Amino acid sequence: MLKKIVKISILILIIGFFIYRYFFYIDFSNSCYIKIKPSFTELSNSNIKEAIKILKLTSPDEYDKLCSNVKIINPNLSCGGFGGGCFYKSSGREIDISTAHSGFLAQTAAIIIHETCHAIQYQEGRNLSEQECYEADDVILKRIVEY
Amino acid sequence: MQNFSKDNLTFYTLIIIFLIGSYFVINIFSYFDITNFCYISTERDIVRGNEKTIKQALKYLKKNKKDDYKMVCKYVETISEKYCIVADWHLGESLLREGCKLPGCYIKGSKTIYLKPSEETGENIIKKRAGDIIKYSNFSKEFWN
Repeated sequence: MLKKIVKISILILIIGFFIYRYFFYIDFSNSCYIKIKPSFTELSNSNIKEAIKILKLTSPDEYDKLCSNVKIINPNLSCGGFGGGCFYKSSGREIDISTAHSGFLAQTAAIIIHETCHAIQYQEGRNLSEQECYEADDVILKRIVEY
Repeated sequence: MQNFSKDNLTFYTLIIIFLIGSYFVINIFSYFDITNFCYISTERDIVRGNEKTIKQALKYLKKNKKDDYKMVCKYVETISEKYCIVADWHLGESLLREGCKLPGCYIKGSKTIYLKPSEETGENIIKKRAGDIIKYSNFSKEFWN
């Protein structure tokens, strides 16, 4: 009986770790909890998680805005096409980030910031201006790409 | 006793075969130098790239620039062939072209460096890539220190 309990506990731990590893971004110190949906087209969740970590380390203000305004990231193909992003008013605090598993990390970070910018515009009852969000992601790209 | 030894021998032989096999498989998809505990994931551009010259550049560093090689192993986890995007192209197409011309780049907050895709082979590209890898690895070192 004890052996069975141990086996089941180990199995639950492995499944739990797998779910945490690929489908959640959790940062307790900053109270940041973001769910990342499964992606069957690009398997890009790890790329998205790494981009979020880059934002945390390089752009704390933008990272705070992401954590406060976005609760779900959908990595599946959306209106932005491959390597793009999308924000639907009906989704509220959900953004679409359709980057590839091996996508350019800075581009993923920039698209996250771009779509977060739209989520903020929507929550503040403003028009979804592209220009404002292009400028926001441009700042990120110029900040994190070193050459 | 003799059977026990035979079983043990078979078991350890299988483990050794598995480890050697794994080593070669890992080296197909990445760079793994077991003697220096150096593992770097490598990604090629399928259309315009050549992953082999990235690995050859790392071997060149190992042989000729040992200190730089150690630094690369410590501060780089992934070397990928990709054109760098340095600004949002919606704000100006010239910015997109500027990024494409770059030999590579480093992304702050990561241990990933990107090299411009190249199908070229030979000593020149190996040495050039070795130099680029050192340059961008130094950026990573600066960030993490």
